Amino acid sequence: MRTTLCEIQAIEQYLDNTLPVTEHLLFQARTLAAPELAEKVNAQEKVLQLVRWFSRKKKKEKLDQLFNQLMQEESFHHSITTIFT
Amino acid sequence: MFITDDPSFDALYRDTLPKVARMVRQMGGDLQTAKDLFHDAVIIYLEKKQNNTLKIAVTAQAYIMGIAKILCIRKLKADQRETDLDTLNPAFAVPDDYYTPPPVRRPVLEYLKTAGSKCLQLLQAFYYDKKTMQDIAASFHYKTPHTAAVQKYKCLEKVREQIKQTRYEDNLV
Repeated sequence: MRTTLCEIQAIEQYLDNTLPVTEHLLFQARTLAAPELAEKVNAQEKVLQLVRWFSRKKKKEKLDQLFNQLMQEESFHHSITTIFT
Repeated sequence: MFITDDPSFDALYRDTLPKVARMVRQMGGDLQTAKDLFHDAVIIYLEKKQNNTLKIAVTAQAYIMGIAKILCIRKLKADQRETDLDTLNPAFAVPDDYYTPPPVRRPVLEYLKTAGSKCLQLLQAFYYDKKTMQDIAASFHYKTPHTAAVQKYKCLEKVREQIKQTRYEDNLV
């Protein structure tokens, strides 16, 4: 893998806490000494947050579809709507 | 409908939604609120199950109801100190970032929905669905798991650069 991808892999392990303790601390020190590395770490963390956000959104859309599908069934529709009447 | 690999999910959904709906109704919520809170609780449950972080030996239904109750109290009770001891159990903790908005601005979201959609799917398969590289290689038609892993890093780089670029442009404005 090229250097950038190796660095991305290292950041991933750092964020995952899967680096050995000494390497983790060393990496942390590097982020303090190099603002551009710190920025990459920050951006990569945001990518993971973004992936979670999109995944949850997608899952919620699928659950909404399931809800709408079940509400087409008379018995299910009745059992839910009577709770709120 | 593909939400989880578990074939019993449909039955779990059918059995649990009415129970959550009754609880939400008792706290003064409407059907829309009940449905939304139930779906949030289901997603949190599925994530914890996927990550092996459930940390509690209760049925799926009991867990979902526990989470739904916490979400309901947060949303509907003006005085959140009414939380009972059950809901303070850390096993029912709601992920910190669950209700936070996306951490980037609209241009990055648009990019991911269009040009970056395949990358997003790949990253979701690995980081959210916790698929193995073997599975990812097969479903995304990569020759080997190694090729899929390299592609995953390329995708991370692509999205990360997009985020950095947007931030740079923001600073220029």
